[in-house]
Amino acid sequence: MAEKRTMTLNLTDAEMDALEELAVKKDLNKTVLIRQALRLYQMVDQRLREGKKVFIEDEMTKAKSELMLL
Amino acid sequence: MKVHIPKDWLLSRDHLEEGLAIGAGSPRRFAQPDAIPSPVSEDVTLIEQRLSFGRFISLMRRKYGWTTQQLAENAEVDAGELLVIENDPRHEAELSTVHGLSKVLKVPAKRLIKMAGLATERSEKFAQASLRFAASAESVAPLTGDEEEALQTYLKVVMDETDKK
Amino acid sequence: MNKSPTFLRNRKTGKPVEAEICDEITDQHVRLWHSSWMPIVAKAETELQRRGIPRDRWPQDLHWKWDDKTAWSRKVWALKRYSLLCEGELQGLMLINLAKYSRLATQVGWHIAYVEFVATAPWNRPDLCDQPTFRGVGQTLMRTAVEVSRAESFRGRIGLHSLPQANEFYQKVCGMTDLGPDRSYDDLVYYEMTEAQADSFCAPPQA
Repeated sequence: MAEKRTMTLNLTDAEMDALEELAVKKDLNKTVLIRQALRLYQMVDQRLREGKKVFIEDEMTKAKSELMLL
Repeated sequence: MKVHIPKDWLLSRDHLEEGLAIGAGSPRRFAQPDAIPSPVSEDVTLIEQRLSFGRFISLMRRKYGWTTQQLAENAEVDAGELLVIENDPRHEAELSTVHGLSKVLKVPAKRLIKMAGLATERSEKFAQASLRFAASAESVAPLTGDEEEALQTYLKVVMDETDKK
Repeated sequence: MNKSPTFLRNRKTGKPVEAEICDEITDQHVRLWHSSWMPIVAKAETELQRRGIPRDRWPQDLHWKWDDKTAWSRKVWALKRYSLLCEGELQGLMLINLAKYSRLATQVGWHIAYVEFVATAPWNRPDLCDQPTFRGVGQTLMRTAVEVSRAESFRGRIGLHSLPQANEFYQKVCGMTDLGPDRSYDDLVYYEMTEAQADSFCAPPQA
């Protein structure tokens, strides 16, 4: 992998609890989870910069609602 | 990242894929609006604008007698992206690429950004000049007399628009 | 860019040949795709047309534009590109998405390395030539996907939508689980490899 740099991340108790819970759910360690979150964030951001919209679809009803990030 | 695939692993099992195809992927899915933009869902005028932009870059490059690689090196931009800019009007050029091109092609950056469809403001005169230019250009090197004339006419409109600002 | 040495089998001589996996598809690779794959693909399409084969029965990946895929994927961090070279020629290409989740009931919601696209050079394809040149491209790239998954802490889990002519490869050679046709992906069959299947796939040869 490319050379890595280290940073310190300050989180509230609630954020840390959420991070730990997600890490267990996703079978990932916290560092990898943060990295994945960054990738997903960038993917959404890239779509928005291209002028696209991001939608969430209800699998059952097929109803769509826009994820309002702007 | 580096990948370690033991030699004996592969050579003990490569025979298993004898006569088999291996392709995977759904081009239609990847090409839907949440991935590569589909031309059907794009603003048609934006497609036309990018078409003009691609043609313009192609003609200017040929005017200088450069290959795509040479233009990329001179402008310090990615040659792969230049190839796509010249050939695919669905592609949105990177701002940094447009800036690089503006310096080496000696076209004001603001104008080139608009030509690339990266800014919304456009004059009607510019839009019509873009359409005529896109229709006139053919992608054959070197520049014919007609292409040279079309390029000069388009450049004049481009520069006139810039001077007005 | 990182390069990892590997091998392919030359089918004509039966001998192993040194190859190289790059963790990028560079502009040079795109040019190689354009200059060495496309002319053969164009010829194959002409032949398919001449034989009157309807377009919807042509191999779907013939018209894939790797210049587009490469250019677009460079904008998205979660997309990783790989190329396989041997004897100075481009033998295979792969695009992996690291932001997808498993659909298998036993691991739903866990991340996988999803193979968006994978292809071998036209001269390696049994559907395009009578005497394919190299063998092992498919398994080399699948092993690469598994190793990428492991490096990302996804424990070797991978997924993909197989082209119809490749179902046998993913099911029998790679030992992946068939989750059935996916309506939102042109009814292509969706396959996943679990951690256990990845370990089995990568197991050293029996002595």
